[in-house]
Amino acid sequence: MESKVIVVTSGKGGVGKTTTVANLGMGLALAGYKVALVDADIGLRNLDVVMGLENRIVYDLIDVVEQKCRLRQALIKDKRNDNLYLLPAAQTRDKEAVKPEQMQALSQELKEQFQFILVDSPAGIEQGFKNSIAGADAAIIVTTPEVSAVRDADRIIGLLEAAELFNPQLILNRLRPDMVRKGDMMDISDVIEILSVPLLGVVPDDESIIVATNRGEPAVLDKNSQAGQAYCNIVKRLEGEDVPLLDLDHPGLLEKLRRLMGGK
Amino acid sequence: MGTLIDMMSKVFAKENLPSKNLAKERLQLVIMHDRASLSPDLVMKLKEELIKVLTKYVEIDEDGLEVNLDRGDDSVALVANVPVKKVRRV
Amino acid sequence: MGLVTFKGTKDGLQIILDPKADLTEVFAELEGELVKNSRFFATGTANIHTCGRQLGSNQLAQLAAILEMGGLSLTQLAVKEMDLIGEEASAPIPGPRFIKRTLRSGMQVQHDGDVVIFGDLNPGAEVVASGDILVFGTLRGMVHAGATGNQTAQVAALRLSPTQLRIADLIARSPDGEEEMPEHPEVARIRDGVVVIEEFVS
Repeated sequence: MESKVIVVTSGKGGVGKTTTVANLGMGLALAGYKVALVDADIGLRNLDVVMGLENRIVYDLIDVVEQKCRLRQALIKDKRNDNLYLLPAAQTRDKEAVKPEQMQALSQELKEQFQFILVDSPAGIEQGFKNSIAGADAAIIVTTPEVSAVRDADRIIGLLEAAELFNPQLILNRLRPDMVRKGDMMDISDVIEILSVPLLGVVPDDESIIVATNRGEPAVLDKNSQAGQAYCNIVKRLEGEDVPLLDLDHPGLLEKLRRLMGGK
Repeated sequence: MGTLIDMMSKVFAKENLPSKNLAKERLQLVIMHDRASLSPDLVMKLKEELIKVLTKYVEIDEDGLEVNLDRGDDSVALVANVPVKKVRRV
Repeated sequence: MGLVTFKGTKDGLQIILDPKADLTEVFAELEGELVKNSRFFATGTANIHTCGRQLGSNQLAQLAAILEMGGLSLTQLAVKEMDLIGEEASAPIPGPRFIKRTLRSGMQVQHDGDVVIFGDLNPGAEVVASGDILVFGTLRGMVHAGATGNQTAQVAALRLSPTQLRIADLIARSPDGEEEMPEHPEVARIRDGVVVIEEFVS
């Protein structure tokens, strides 16, 4: 299989880019691929804490591009899976410390060792975003079913096209089936109709994500997490498998019981 | 004070549609506007090329040429205002 | 006399103030020298070296006023702390750097000497010092003591819970998983080639 650099981006902040990168990365590594996660959010790094690897950082992405260390020295091996590595962002520098050409070179170097390279893009459309897409072969857009997030996703899709990154795939995050049922949240078809890009997956709003982030353990590792399950399915789709969307309308046992007991 | 008419109008008001319909409508509108915006660079290019074509047929006041994107509530139109000095008779 | 030394460097005028003499006397001499040579000093920037002496805001203002009188305007004044002196072998060893605030994520302090922080060191903040690091607060960020290779350097904090702690060329990290915040002040130092953390006893 040819190595692939995939940028995960959204425009709007707080829609779940970093969580998505952590979970897809762990999922791909569990499936046996060699995976590198690159935190391109210079100055506001977070992927390290979401992965629970913050205490292992010695060198970072800026040190690599400034040739203060070798790439090998800056890559942090995951504590749970030997296939997974993290290249952390610098926290005490700013986004201008990297140039798009340097990101391209870095991507090339990573491709020699890894099959999947997932780049966590910063929010916004400025230099940091441009850096994050510079070395990418494909893009994943993360959005939530809210007007602000979808609007920003549309803008990002336009900017990706302008940068000749065509056919981005969409992950619809934090969907709440109960609200969709009541007509108080846009559903999958609404968002797809507006953005007209292929859907890679839908991830339900799930408390287990917050618990997982508190622990620094990606939710894919939790067999009981519905969001984790959704990420597993997305991983299979990335591998080329045709997996149906998770049936979010199908209530869990507890919900069924609650309804039987006379709840709504 | 809630008269029967007030209550009726509330029931049938747009706000009582499922809020997702409202979200979708508003999004479609705002995205149409977003997508239709032209950068100043593009406007300049457009102007130059318009002038090239127009001067084949009419003599125009190049400085007076105005090109704008006009946004209505549910449509976007390209509006060009071209002061014509003289029509060329070929 | 000799409490004030003037030196011309490529970065402008260096004025070195004797760290041990009475400050009033030092200022008096500085004033005298500046008045005497006002034409000579009129252009060029002045780097003040206090050689370890801490100047209060009043004293700083006084110093600025003296320089201004001598023809050096406040904007030309580069009053740094003691760490200005580095390259010159004859220069006195720099004193500690005091930081009276909490260092937040993204902030970085580098100092040739000891660093004392009155406040917390939050996750994502970094302090790198050639000497010891002392935190009168909670240390949660990254610290590197003895960064130039000093194996005897120490790190102490009222609550020591760093993301990562380095002394000389050794790196220690916090254990994975949840950890309870220490209740006593602790100190980290190298013993038998490893970083150990012990309760702080005076």
